Amino acid sequence: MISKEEITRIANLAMVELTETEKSEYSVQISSLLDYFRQMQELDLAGVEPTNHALVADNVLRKDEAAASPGQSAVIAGAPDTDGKSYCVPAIIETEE
Amino acid sequence: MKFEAVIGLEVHVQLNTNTKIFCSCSTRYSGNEPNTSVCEICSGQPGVLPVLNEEVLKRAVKTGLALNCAIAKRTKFDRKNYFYPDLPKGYQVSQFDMPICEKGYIAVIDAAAAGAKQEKKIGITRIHMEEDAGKNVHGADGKNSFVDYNRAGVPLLEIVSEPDLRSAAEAKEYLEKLKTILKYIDVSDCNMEDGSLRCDANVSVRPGGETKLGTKVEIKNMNSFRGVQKAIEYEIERQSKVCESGSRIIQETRLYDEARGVTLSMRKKEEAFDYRYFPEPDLPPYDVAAKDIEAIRAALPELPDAKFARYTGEMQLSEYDASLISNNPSLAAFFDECAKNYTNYKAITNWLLGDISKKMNELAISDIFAAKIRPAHLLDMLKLIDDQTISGKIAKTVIDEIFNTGEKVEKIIERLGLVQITDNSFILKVIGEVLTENPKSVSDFISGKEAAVGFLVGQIMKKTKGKANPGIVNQTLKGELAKLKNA
Amino acid sequence: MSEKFLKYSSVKEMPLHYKPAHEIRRMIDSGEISPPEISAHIIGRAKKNAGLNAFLALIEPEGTGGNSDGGAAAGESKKFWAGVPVALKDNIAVKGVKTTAGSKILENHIPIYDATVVKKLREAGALIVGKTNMDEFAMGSSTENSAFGPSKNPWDITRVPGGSSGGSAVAVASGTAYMALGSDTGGSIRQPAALCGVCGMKPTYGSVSRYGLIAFASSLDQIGPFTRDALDMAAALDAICGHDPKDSTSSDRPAASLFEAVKNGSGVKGLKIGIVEEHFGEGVDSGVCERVRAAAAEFEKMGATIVSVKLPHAKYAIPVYYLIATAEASSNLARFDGVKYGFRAPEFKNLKEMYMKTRDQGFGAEVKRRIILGTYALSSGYYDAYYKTAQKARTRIKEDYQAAFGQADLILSPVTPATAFKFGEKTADPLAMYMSDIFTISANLASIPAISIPCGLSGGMPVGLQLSANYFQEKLLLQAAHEFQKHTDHHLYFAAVE
Repeated sequence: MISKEEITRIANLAMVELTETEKSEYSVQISSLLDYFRQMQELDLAGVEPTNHALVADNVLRKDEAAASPGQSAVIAGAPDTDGKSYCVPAIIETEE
Repeated sequence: MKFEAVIGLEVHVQLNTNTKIFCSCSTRYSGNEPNTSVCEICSGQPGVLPVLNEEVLKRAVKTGLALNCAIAKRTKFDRKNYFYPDLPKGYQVSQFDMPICEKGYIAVIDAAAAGAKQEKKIGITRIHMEEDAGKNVHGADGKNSFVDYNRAGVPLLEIVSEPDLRSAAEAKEYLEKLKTILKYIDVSDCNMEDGSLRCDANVSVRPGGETKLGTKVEIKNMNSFRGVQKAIEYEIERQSKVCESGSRIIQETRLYDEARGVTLSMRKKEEAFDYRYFPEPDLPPYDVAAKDIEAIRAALPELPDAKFARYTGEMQLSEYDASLISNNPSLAAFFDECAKNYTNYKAITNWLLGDISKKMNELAISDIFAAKIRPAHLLDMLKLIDDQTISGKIAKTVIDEIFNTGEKVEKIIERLGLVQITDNSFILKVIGEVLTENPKSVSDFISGKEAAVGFLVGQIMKKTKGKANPGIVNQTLKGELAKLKNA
Repeated sequence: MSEKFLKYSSVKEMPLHYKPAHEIRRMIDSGEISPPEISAHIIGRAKKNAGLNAFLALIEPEGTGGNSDGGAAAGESKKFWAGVPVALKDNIAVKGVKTTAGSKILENHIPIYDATVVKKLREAGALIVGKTNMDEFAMGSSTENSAFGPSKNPWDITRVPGGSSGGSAVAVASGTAYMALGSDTGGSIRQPAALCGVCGMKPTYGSVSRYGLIAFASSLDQIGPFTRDALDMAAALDAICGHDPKDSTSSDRPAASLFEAVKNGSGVKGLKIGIVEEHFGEGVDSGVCERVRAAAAEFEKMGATIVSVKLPHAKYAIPVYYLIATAEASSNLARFDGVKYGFRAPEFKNLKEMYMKTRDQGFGAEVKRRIILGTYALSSGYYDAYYKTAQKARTRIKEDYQAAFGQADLILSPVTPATAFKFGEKTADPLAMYMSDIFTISANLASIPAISIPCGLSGGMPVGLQLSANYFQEKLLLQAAHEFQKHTDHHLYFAAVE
């Protein structure tokens, strides 16, 4: 059973605000889903390689040749808030590198 | 109680490729307006996909080989998930459990070893490839921050050392050695000042003799090699005091405050963040073929340690000279070129480390190949000194001219009329004039004042505009003065 | 409404909007009709049937959205899709055209680049007439999760068209596009194709570039076409398949020319068609079973042999799929944060609140639920038990298919356990909705190609037949589908739409 506290912790990691009702709802729904999913544990998967990549060819590489960039105004065009040059966000409080 | 410091360094270097790691935007955006070297891929627009720059993989392998690492047969990328405005996709593409290089080392001088200099290997745990984040700039009003993705996607190598360092000085030496090696193989500019090299330190202390590791503290925000040293020194002191007082070290991240010379606890108490690493599904695994590794290895230049050994060994340079030259890739290249055609290696280093370096400092040039002087210049000059066409003193003037004009040495000497005077009878004549014009100095010398000789030599040089061969002057003057003394 | 449908005996009888694209091609090339006439007819129909909510945006040919000139140049008309109206699911980026992924968080987002498939369609001269409705971020099986209202099944407008590519299925089923692109992560093309009585195909993973497809689950997503019939499907794949240097997961196998190969296909004599008995057991509607078994019998009549195959790990497909897909999605959707594009919450006190409120208000309930589930599956302490275990079980599912394809050339199965359900019927229980994907998700997990083609009606609603094959065996699949359509007439039934 996934507790509401767990759901809250996960929601914080995923940066999604949930109402108390949603947390209760998800707690129930996700618990029941995971209960159902637990049957997967009955498989003996010792030594099986995980499928980390779908059907892919290895070693896909690109030449180190510069291409023109779309330009400042095109790139930030759809942003909710800018100063005309950069994306604008609420102040970041912690000091960063 | 004597505490032993245990230090590990995590270094990030920006690779000097033309384009970013996963898109074709230029990495040379320095000084440009924000978001001008940005495309839909490196700004994390919906629907975009990454494609690895082949030069990033090559440079990662090259770096691993230069740092004595084992190169992974198979390597892959993973996503490191967290939210921050400078991280456009909400995850960083990095490498988690299959890094490109592992288990290498850098040799430094063991600071703790008493007596003769001993080498010590500082282990390198791993090297991996990842993408850089953008830059956040604080707004003036403190209410907003401004995000620029020019730097987002620039390729980084993260180089993690084993906790083998035992002092702040050793840590600085490790950084300097790492920088030298990386400059030799030309994969990065390695400047802390412009952000192409960044360093975080993990510092812990333990009672002398203890083998268990103490609680480690991460130190960030150091902006120079000197800063790294000072920050670590302070932290070791701080942790020792804490332990001595019986308290426990809190595992945390601290920021170095350069102005105050202290480390400060970050305001937020952080538990280990859950990055939810998982294999990057948009990029395939990479196999580095043994023959490709060998090709890169074969193309590696001679590295500083090997150069130092050769200089002090077969070339018999002093350790001091050898160290200065081998730590500077362009100086070493210059030296090596000269040494191909001239076997008085000491003479080469004297000039390189003496007047040439002085001139470079004057002109604020750090890379000798950015100046006009070339190995051919020095070789010509040395030959002309050897056959006495010019004196050592005149050569200094020649060097100045070379830096100014880059002209051939012969042309400079001709143009400035610097050919040395070696005509004995001419010199004799000038000496005769000087002795006649300076009777007081002569009598001073006769009455025992050796210093008068210097004055007379000066006068002779003045009369010959510095061109008289000093050796001949000294010898001839000595002879004339002796005659006068005995007269 | 559920008994009302149209049946044509031949292409000649069909109204213009229901003719297959290969017939439209013939008519354009012979001068019987011009591209502007066709597009006017189609767009007129789309506007008239706006109530079906197939389209989120219509693109009129006069200069907006960067459409081609309809192949006016003489040389152009040789290309199959030149001048033919097509539609694109709204999670495919079209430069300068609003691309929402069915979500409020991208309600006004305008891409600054074209998806590779869009470039290819433009090169082929196709006329892009609109962006179609979908479940938000491709998460859903009915379009009930669209932030812009559900689409309606043209066979019965009280029923869902399926999802997540519901809008594209409706467009083709209602004669408002001759071909529409969708995306398939766990059946999102094949299931709506089955519920709407059209053909829908998920190609081999890596066949079609994902560059420009707004990602749901990176190792499962593929773009694929909806068409009237197998011949059109071959032509559609010819237009969109191929290696793309901008997609590192793009296959470097040369794209085969499918249209000619399928047109001149030699039938199914000797072909071994595998059936999984468990697929016809409890939980599957009897009407669906009957139609699918009848289709198998049809293949036998055509000379194929039906063999029994086993897929022992099939029952684990649901947990494996939902753990992997939601985990990848939780990471892919992290970029929607109100910083760079799209919706930002109007009120917040600080950065963290901006993130949390933006994503709460911008995402719908199903998307939030899957993000939470996926984040959980990847989180410290649970990664091994959930995500890693699912990836290992996925390997077993892939191996099952390799073994099965050692015994059969194709596998035949239902697409869905039942025909189209009514709106609201499945929204209460997420697991019930997820379970209806049981027949389609394994193809995504195994990266193999699969197609859904009409195989009759049950209770007046279409039933889909699924054929799947091994990697890059699209030619085999389409030849079998085309042969089936030469011997049967299920693909000649249409919804009665004005």
